[in-house]
Amino acid sequence: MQSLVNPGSARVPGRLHWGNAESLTATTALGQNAMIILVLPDLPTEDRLLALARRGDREAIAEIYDRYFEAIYQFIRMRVEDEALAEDLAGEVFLKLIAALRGGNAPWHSLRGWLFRVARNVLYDHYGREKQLTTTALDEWIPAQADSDPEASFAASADSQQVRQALRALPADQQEVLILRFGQMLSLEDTAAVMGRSISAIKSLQFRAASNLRVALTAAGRGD
Amino acid sequence: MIRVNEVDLLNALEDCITRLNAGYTLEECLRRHPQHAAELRPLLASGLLVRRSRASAQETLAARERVRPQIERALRQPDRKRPAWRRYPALAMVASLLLIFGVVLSSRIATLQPRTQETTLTAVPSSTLLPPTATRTPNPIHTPTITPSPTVTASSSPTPSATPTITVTPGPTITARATTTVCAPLPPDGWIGYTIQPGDTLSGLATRSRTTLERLMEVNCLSDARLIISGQTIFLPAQVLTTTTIAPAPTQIGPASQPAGNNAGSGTSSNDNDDDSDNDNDSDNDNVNDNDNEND
Repeated sequence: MQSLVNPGSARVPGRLHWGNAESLTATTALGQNAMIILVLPDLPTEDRLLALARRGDREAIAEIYDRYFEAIYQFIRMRVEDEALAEDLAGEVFLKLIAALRGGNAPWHSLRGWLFRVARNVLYDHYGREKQLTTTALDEWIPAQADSDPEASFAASADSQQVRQALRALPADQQEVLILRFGQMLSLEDTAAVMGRSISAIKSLQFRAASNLRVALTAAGRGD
Repeated sequence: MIRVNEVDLLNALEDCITRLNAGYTLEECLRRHPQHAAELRPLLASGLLVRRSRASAQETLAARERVRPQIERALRQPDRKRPAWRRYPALAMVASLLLIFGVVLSSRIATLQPRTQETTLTAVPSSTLLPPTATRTPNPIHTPTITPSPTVTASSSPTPSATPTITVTPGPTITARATTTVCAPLPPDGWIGYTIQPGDTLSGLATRSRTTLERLMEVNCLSDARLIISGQTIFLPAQVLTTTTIAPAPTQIGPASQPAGNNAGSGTSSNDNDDDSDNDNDSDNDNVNDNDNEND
């Protein structure tokens, strides 16, 4: 389960949704359709944290770091093979946040979306510098054992490393949409905002991306 | 070109992703879109693999703690880029408003302070000084409304070339709206304007006009006895000027006061008296006539 809260100080069981709006809600799935929405009034909202951070409140900035590092690191790590490099790039995102807070360019709302956008730019900058485009190589990837029914078996057999490599073989925007929609469970609207595209464009993109990923995984599963 | 069923497929995929993110299972979602289930299943399964292959929580936490010192170092660096007013924009706005208000207030107070030295009077006879009140008020808002009703009593001396004694009784009613007192040099009854000659001292003038230095300064709004300039006009008791003849000839009476003087009298006090007596006589005659009529 994806939880954006600091695991060390997990306050609620269940899934946390960090809304753009006022309240932070925790939803706990009971059964299949029943959802209980708990409003947690004692948790400072994202906007209030941002307001404090803009005034230079170090504790607020530290809390933002604790809350969002995981999501940002996951986003970058899915696209970057090197763990140390992923750490550096994730740190760069938060250094940019501090600079933006001090420079008065920090956002007033939707901090998570803003951080994802910065992370995208950091990745683009890095790939621009390194001339290391995303077409790493499906052929370098050691496939799982071929099975008689690759369609059924690839999901069971593919380990995380293999899936990441298949993902990194996709065009950058397709990687992003899969990571944001499936990996970070962003809504369609938030994903469109982060990527700067229309909702219908994201709908098409996620279809193409999922299709391509499936093809890549299947091909790899067959040992092509 | 996107066909209609393609749009439907895209929407079904979107619906399933949203439901998976909300906690539904893959099968529950596919049951809602049976016509696309076969096509959607491998796509959604691939997408779920992305979720499953995220970095472990262990790795993420370790990374967070390794990066943290770098962030804390950046936070410890002084925020030189941004001055305090940018960190507290609301506070800065209030402070600047207060500052502007203070400046305006202090300038307003400064204009209300008695202006003793700066006030220069341009005309010599006091009767001409009174009507143009605007020249003497430093601030138009606090314009004292002066209604002069000068009664000029001029006693013509035997020699026409000699300086006539003009007794001006302005009798002004001053209605000042400002609570702060504005020092405007207004002569008491019997004082007239005098242009300071080279060599004059205020104390000397006081002695010669048989008044005190303090009284002169008070009437003329002077704060420093040494600060008089030749050519400046001050008020002095009038009778002294006639005896010592230090006043220059107040050659002409201001145009505003002339009609007033004509109305009040024909030039001499004796004439005034005559007029009064005439009026008395007239009234007497009237009474007599009335009586006559009654008698008739």
